[in-house]
Amino acid sequence: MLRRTFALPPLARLTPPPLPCTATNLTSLALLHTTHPWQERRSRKQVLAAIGAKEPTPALVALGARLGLPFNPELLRQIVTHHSFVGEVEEPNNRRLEYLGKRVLSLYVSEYVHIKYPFLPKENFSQVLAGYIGNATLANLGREVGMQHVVRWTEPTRIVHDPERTLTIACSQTAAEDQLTQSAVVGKAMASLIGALYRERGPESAKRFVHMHILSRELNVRDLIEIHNPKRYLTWLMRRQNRKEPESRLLSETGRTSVSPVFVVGVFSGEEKLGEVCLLVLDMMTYLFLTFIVCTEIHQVSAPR
Amino acid sequence: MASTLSAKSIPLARPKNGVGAFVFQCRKLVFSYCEHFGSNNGMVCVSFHSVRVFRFKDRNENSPVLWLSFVSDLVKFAKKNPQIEIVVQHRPAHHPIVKGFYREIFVPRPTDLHRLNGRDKVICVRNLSPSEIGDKVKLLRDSSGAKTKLLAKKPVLSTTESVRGIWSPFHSRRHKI
Repeated sequence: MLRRTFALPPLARLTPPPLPCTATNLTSLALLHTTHPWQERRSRKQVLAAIGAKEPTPALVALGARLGLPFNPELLRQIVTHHSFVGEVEEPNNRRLEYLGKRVLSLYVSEYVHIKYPFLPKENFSQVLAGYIGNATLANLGREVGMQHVVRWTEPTRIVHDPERTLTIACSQTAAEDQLTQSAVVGKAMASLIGALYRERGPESAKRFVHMHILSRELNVRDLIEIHNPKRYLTWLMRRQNRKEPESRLLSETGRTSVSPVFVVGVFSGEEKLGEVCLLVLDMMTYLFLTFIVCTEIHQVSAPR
Repeated sequence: MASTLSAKSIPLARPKNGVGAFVFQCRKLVFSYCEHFGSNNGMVCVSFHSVRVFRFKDRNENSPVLWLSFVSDLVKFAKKNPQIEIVVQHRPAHHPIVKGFYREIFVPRPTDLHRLNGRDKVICVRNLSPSEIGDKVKLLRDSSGAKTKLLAKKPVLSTTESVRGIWSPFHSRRHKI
């Protein structure tokens, strides 16, 4: 049997056959036999090495299509290459794109939160921002879209804790928590993706991407808010907005002398009703009622142009 | 600003696939074949490193026309679904299989979505014709990755268990003996 070696592409890929299958000549078909396929099977290490190959992998191209990104494969490769990655050739990495992407994210998410929750206290604002664009969320988002299969990075060697040489380790190497993890790399790749989108396609495109993928996530803002003096806070809020001082009025009641009375109390600022709540005890101003006012959601979010 | 917050104080932003953008759930399909085993006749895949020898007078299913049609079908499928990574893998001395890999989802337990986390589905396509294999491939592509659930017993999925509402004593007639 004649043997012939082919120059094989890095990964299994569906390519057209090297010779026409409709060949009728038996001898020409015999020429097609190569080495047995199981000898050419690639180990996992070889496959991983192929990820560092020159051509972009199918997984990378699929990722671009999954997110609807109009990038060429070279830019996609740059987005997923962390600066710790060491390849044969000097490859462009995503460090600058990540820097830009983080700021772009911060802009569009801040804008959205500022408009959607106009009365949100500032501590909660930073919490909500972290919830949308924090490292953990970006890492989760990256994993959901399949970024962990395409990121190119170098895993740092584990630090072995040596009690006798604790001091020298602290000086020369970073702590265990600061060590690079795959989640961190995936999160950085997501940020750099948005940075690349901003750079290539402009702010409108980036904003649309942020709204579709990041701001579509559900975040419970009401649970975050802690107001210790709700009456005081409400008074301050009304004064700040030049509205009349808030006062509570009893709207309706039932069963006052019974075991389980129900009172409907409304808080008014002059003629305008801010909100109402059902109380079981007449003097109790519940905490939930105030957070309801503070977290008024404007359903039609219109961002400044 | 965000870096000064502790990990516990950062709220969880739950993913809502489809609310904004829809991320396709099937991320990868792997086609495994063996060119010698007869059950692979339907899973005809002309790879770059081996071609089966056959006679010109053969007019059965193993004809090259059928092979090329499957290959072009797979290429067409790949082009129509660019978000799926398609891998053709040679696996000698085994039945042919199609394996679908699905995306990971990060929600804390216990929710329904946690069941979809990074699962994969395998379908053995031995002795199936190319069109039947195509049906199985479509099944894998359209799946969310969740385990196959029997939907016949509970056709209605709702926040209220009953369609007409739960009985309440305040909204019904007084009980009469």
